[in-house]
Amino acid sequence: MAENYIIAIGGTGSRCLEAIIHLAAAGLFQTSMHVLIIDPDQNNGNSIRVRTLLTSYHALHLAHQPRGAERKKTLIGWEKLPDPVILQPSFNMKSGNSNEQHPFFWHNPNAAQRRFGEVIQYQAQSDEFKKFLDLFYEPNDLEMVLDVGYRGRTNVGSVALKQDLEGTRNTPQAGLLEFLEKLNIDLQTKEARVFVMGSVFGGTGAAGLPTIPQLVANLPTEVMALDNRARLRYGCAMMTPYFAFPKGSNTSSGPGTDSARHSVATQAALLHYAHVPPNYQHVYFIGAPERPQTNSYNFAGGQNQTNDPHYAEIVAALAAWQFFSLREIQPGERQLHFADTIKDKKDLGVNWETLPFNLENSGNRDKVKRLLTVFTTLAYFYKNFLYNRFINGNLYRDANWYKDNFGELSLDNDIPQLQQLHDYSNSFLIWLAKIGETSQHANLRLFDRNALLETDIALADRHVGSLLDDPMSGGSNRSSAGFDNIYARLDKLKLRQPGTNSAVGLFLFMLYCAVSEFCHENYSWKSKDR
Amino acid sequence: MIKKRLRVILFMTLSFVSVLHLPAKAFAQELVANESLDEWFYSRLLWGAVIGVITGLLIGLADLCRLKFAVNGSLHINNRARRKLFIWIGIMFVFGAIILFIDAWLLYPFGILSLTFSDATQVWLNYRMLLILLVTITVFVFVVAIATRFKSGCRCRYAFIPGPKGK
Repeated sequence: MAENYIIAIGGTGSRCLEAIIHLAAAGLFQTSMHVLIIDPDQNNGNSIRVRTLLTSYHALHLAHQPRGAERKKTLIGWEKLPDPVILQPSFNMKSGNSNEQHPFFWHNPNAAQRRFGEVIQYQAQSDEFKKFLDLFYEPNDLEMVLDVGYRGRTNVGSVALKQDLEGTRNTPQAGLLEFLEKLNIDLQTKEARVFVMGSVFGGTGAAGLPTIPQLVANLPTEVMALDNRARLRYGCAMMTPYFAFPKGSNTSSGPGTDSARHSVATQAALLHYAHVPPNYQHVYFIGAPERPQTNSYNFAGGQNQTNDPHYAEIVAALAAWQFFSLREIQPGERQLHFADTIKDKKDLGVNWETLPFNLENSGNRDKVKRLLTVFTTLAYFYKNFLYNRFINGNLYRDANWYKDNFGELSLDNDIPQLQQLHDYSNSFLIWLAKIGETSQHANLRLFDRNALLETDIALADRHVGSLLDDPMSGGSNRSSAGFDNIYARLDKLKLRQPGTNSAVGLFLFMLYCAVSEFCHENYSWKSKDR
Repeated sequence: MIKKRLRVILFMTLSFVSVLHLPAKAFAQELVANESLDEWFYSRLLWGAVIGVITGLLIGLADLCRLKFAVNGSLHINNRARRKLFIWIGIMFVFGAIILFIDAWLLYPFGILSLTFSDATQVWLNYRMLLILLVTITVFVFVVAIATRFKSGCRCRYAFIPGPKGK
């Protein structure tokens, strides 16, 4: 099966990628992916966060979970368990048996203190051409240092980004070369899909969105044959303004960023796209009516620019999921997707019934809810109840489930992976809770955000069975002592054989089985499909 | 911890001393024939074993196998199950002794005699009573161990009969 290709442009693109990683961890995506984060602001806090997340994810992905496992029935015999669900798709995995990854971050080899005037060689131009350039660029733009990206200046970004990307097309380990090579290999035999995500209100995203299809179209035929290019399908998430940040001021290195200009910048970018359509078959147009502050300070870029996540990023990830799961995409197809939460002139808020899901299959709505709920419960359970006991004193050694199933395997050797699992679970829960925080005005009802960050173990015991905020399963008899309920299911699980060489993989698989069974009963989900 | 250990040692010592002081022959022997005492002993021994099986199954399956896992501390409940079994043994011992006394005093027909309270006490204070209790409790413990070990998904399956060793 061909891999799915994702390009995340700028800080917003990185945050959308963060949502994709979390949904992939929860089991929504099943096909391996190749991602490339393109951000000229090489130390941007948002992209650093995603890179760290990808590293944790990769470590957990390598903990292979058993396939075709069988569990002991209550009375006699064995029953087959479903194949592993969580943390399945790989990201940027090199082909062969290697566990190494291709770079997922585009490395810009240019000096950080480079100014835009140097990029276009302004001083070297003739006076006449300089006057022409002055029509497009203010002196501020020409003097702008590109260390933290394009500071919301699309006119700067569109030139600099295209030039820099083309400059690294043949540079090994810069990310782009590996991306294009892998894409080309996949295109030899089958259709491949590329999904691009970025903002249309910022400098990098708005400049990068039309640049990507153009970059591929302009590749020499020896790099990518025309036949191969015809098998390429593009989708994109155009993120319109959905967040704000405090007003900043100009600095010596260039103009500051101002979220008040986002709407105007979006209009300008969209007008340009209307005249010169970027070559995307499916465009997902995503925004939010309310624009909460996702950062308490104004940072033009750099490692301090870490914005809180927002539900719009989940919508972007769901758009990618829908795009990759579409059965067929015609080369000439052009579709614009959008959705809202209004029904009969009433705003229903953002909840499990209004989140825009794959419309080709309405059953998916339930699937997404279940997968996310089970994964959230698993992360919560591990972080609050197991991690400390695993690390401080290796208490798993005396547990029945460990004695029954681990045989020659030992978690003692996998302490770093257990640590990674904790870090990932923590990141996921914080991400989910922050989404609840930034979406207060949107009447968001997905998970109980107050419960997600609970650290008191007794309170966590009460909350673990009530994390899902869903009016549809409000009538279910939710467990008020979730720890015992889940742990008892883990405790009695006996597999015919471990089926893997990874102790953490086996543990994750068993915990997922126990939590999934618990969630089905706790939330009165009807289907037997686990 | 030390206090607890002292209590256990004291309890064991007192139990041992009290057993030593039990008369080899019942004081009531003058009132009740030896054959009658033996008949009582054998019939109650069998009942004791039956009660041991029933209570062992009930307590093993309905109580010990369903002990709750604690949100803190260890990830197994074997120690709690063992502690709880000791409590149940104590309860069995006390109740068994009371029942045997009532049985000897009011229920069992020792010939044509109807025993008075003090006579019944003398019949009851006999090594036979202790033997019946010991058999009942031994059967009880054995059944608990088997029931908890082999009941599918029992939460304390390795508390009394050890299972595989985790690495």
